[in-house]
Amino acid sequence: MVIDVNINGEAVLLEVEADELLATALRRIGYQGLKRGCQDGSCGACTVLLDGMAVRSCLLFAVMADGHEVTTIEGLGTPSTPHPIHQAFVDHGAVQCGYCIPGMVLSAKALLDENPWPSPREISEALDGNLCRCTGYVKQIEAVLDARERLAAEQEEP
Amino acid sequence: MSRNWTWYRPTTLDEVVGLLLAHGDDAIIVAGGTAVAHTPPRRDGLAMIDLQDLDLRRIGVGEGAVLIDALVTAQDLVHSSALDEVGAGMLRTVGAGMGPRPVRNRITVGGNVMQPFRWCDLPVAMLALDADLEVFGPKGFRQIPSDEAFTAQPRRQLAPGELLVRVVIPLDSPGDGACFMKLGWTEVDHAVASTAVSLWFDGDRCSGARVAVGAIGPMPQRLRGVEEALVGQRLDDAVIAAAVSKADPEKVIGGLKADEEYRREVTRVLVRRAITSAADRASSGLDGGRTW
Repeated sequence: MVIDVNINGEAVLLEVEADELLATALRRIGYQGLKRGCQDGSCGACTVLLDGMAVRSCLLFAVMADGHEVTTIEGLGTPSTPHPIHQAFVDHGAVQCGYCIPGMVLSAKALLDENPWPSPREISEALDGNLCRCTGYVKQIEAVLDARERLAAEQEEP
Repeated sequence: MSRNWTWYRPTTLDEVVGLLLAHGDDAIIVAGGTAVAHTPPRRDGLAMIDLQDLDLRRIGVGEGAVLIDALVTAQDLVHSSALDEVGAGMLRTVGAGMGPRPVRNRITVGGNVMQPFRWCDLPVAMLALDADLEVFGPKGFRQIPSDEAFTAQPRRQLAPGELLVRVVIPLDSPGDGACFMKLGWTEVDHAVASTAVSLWFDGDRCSGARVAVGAIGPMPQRLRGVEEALVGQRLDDAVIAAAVSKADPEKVIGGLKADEEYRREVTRVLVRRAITSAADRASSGLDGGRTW
């Protein structure tokens, strides 16, 4: 079956199987920033944004995304033009192996879109579904605290 | 290996009923989709009924009750100030613990209530809050009391063509007390044991109690021995401890995260704390907050 879905700002007609998960479909067509880690909703490595809201793409059938907007990590920026959240993660040493980071950055993006000035507690709640087995979590919370300042500064520029 | 399913996106309740009647046991209702996607049915030929286009995502205050539509998400519960009017706000606490944020964004009240895994928190709260499940079917609307709904898988209480549309929860009165508590590996993990307590008072004596426990057996259950020991009493620590000693949950099961004896023990601790907290709230007039 064919679904009509907007991926990272681009309208796409995507052929999917009736029982295909969104995570599988997205990786199949090249969006491999998201990972299928635990495959049961625990780890957060498959997190994407659905109409701006963080969701688990491993707990969603692809067909249910028909008519919706999906944002993957590839939609936020590139290595040469990183998103301020990307850059904050790099600058704070919040990344080691990188496996969990796309999901973590997208959870942070959903939070900052909804609440531009979150507290450390609100950040840890928003990232509570993204498990990291390398760094712990302190650097990532610091990175999001920094990202909120970078984004606020961007807003103030003419 | 792809399965041969047909997906439907009905826009009215009547359409859903028609699909349910037409497909019988081959019809699968999909709300947020988390449970179905996590453990997909293995059969071919299913009719997957995706409810996302139904207008069923409001939390409203009706006559003497709060109405929560079936497609309200766990995260919606967290943000709803209307829910401060029932169970001392415990449903906001329950919502906040129903998985991490991206999961709470998808889990629905309807799915959690109608297709509960044993660790699900909402059914426990529904029992303690004396909620009714409002269903719609070929003969219109009817309500199923939670005491009936959770004697077995709630879906078994549905007639052909019926689906849950909302839950109806009686409003608190001044002087009521309530509390939800759960124990999990983290704040948002599946419960190892959970409890929800509602207390009513006549002056300083308890006039009614509903004490429900969950995650320790296949379905949530009320601890009627504990309830009976509370009614008519002034709830001091000794009375509460004596009541909790009557806790005798049926069908406690072990499992990966905790064995049977541990679940029994921790359930007694949670129930004691929740009753104490509910009684404190009733006497102080405080509403519910985060209790984990």
